[in-house]
Amino acid sequence: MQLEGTSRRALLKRLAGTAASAALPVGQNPPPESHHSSAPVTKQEAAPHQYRCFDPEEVRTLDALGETIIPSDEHSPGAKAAGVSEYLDILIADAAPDTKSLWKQGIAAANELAANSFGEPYADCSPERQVAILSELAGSEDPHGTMQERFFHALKRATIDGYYTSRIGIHQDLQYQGNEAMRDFPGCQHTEAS
Amino acid sequence: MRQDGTSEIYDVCVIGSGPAGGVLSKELAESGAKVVLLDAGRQLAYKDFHFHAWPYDFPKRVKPSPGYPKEVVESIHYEDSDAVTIDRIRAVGGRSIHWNAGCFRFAEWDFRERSVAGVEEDWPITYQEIAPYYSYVEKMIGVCGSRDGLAVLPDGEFLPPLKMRCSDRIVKRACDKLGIPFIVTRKALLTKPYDNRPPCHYCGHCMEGCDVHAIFSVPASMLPKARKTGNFTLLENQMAREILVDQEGRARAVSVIDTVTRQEREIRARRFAVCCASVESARLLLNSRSPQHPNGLANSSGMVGRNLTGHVVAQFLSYLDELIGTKPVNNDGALDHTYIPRFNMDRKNQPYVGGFQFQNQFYGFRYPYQARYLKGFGADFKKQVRDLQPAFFQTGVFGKVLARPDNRVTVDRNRPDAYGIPTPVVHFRFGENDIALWKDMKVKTQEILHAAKARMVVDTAAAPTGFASHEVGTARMGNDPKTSVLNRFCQSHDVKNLYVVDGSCFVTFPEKNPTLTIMALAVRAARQMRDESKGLSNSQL
Repeated sequence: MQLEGTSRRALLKRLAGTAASAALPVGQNPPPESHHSSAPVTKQEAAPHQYRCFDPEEVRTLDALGETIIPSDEHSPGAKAAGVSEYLDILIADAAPDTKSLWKQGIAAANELAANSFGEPYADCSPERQVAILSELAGSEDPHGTMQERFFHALKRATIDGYYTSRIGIHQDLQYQGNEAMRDFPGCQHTEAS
Repeated sequence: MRQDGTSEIYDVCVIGSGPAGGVLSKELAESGAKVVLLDAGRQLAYKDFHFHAWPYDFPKRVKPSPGYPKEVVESIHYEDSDAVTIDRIRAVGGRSIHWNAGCFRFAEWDFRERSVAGVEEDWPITYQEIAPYYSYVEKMIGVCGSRDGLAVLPDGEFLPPLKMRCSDRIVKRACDKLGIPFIVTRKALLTKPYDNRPPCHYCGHCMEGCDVHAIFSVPASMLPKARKTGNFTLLENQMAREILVDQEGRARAVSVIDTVTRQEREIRARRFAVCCASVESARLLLNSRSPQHPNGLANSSGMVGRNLTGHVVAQFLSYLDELIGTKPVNNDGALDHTYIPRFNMDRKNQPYVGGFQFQNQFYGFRYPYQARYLKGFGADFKKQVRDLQPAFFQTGVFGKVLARPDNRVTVDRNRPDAYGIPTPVVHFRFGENDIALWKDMKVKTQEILHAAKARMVVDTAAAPTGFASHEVGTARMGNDPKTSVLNRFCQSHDVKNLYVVDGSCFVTFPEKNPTLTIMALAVRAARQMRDESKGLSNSQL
């Protein structure tokens, strides 16, 4: 979604007085087909991830931010269920100091905006309020813009990468059918209209 | 196989085991020559490749790509250069273990740019001379394709063609209306059992190594045949420092450093073939300085390193209206199944010379690239990403870049690599003609995708980039020793027992991928070496 600047501010103000709304429905899709689960189970899944870069409160914020970008819906679970924050931690832990500091600043900016507008941390805000806050941070999504815009750009890109390379993203959301050994490749089966 | 051959004098020492060195070694060994093949990298094992793995099998979701150690990636510099990149693999098999296997014969006129278009130089060989070698290589490696009867892309010896996907057929329909040929691509990929190798199983991992060797690679297809002759020795982890000469200035040995033990030694042979790809071959020659060859080996013309060229590239992502929101199907196949050959043959109406070609769908179908380009976030964003995914159509456009002497490779003695060997420096600028061609190829791509009713079209780069692993031309062939490095058989004008057999020898570079031509020239060079060693002339296949 793309909200125009002034209406984002209006939305922030309007939402400031409303109560937290009900949680979004969580995906009820069946688990992926058995042939999709043939990949070996990784060590990360065997043991809980030990965060190296982000503290628990930052992880809570990242989970919430990721869920705002790619939420759970009727079709499939979202970024939080897909473990995107673990991927972000692995990614940013090895990143350059500038990148690390952008992420720390960005997370703090999201919480500051949430506190100033709604009096609570980002992760505790309602989904509608979270959308309003993130729209404010996103600006015009300029990768060379303000600190907030640069953070949003990095966050969105990394959340996309993390989600669509996860089991949930690949198999449940996109319903990717490939990486299979086929006896023959059928090609297009449609008959061409004359 | 012998592990160490220091005391032996081989008939031929081949440096570099990619498509050129691999084919050359096999051909020479079969003709009875005692061959030693060196590679700076090691032999990769099955476990190095992670065949069929998922991104979530890796913490950073990126499959490790074997053969590209950090020390190698960092031992090249670009000075006063536009956005070009050169990836130098270090592994037995070279880039044949990491290629998409496109095999396209050059057209008759691609060897005659000076005569036909008034630019660059003509090659010292013609299509008619190289055609039998194209056929020989196609039959040797197994190339799938269809016979299309196009002068721009001469037909070859083909295995059954790949099949078009729905998206391919939609774009073909658009091209038909525009009068643009749209054909099934031609790849060194087996569509039926061939040469004791099984056919493709369409898992879509072609660029990451093929576990069953349905794609041609040197380690799977050439080395076993070379070994069978009993004439062949492979030495891995041998980084060539310089080629040493005798008093007459003829090559007598190559000085190598073992990258594992760090020991140096000389490997002696009667003939040497440098097959390290354009940048590294030029580097080795320029680093081989002696009183007899003060400017580097085979460089009395001063042309070694010059005329570096390669493809100018544009990449487009698009989403075809007809397929948006349709049920996901397995589209993987063998990555690109279709090809748009050069079609801008009307020279009067274009402000540049040269052509461009399109290779479609080699990005694969798992990752949703549209997510990186759609604005916004949230439930609508997520649904848009999902709905666009079955409609994905990617095309890579590869255009001709004119060879110019100022575009060159030099070596920097102040910047040695981990072994103390001066590293290569690339100096490359696109010229006016290249930019004009690049602009036009983007306009034509937009026209095609518009006609195919693409709803969303992403042009991924604002500036021209190169070379997509298609770099050539740093030791060009020619009849005149004053203006060229090699004769028509890839043999040095200056040093008769030295050959440079890889893309370095190209005089000019059309829009087509280089590897098939490199392999055809390697077979031809092997015949020349065989006949010369027997005192014969006029080499025949």
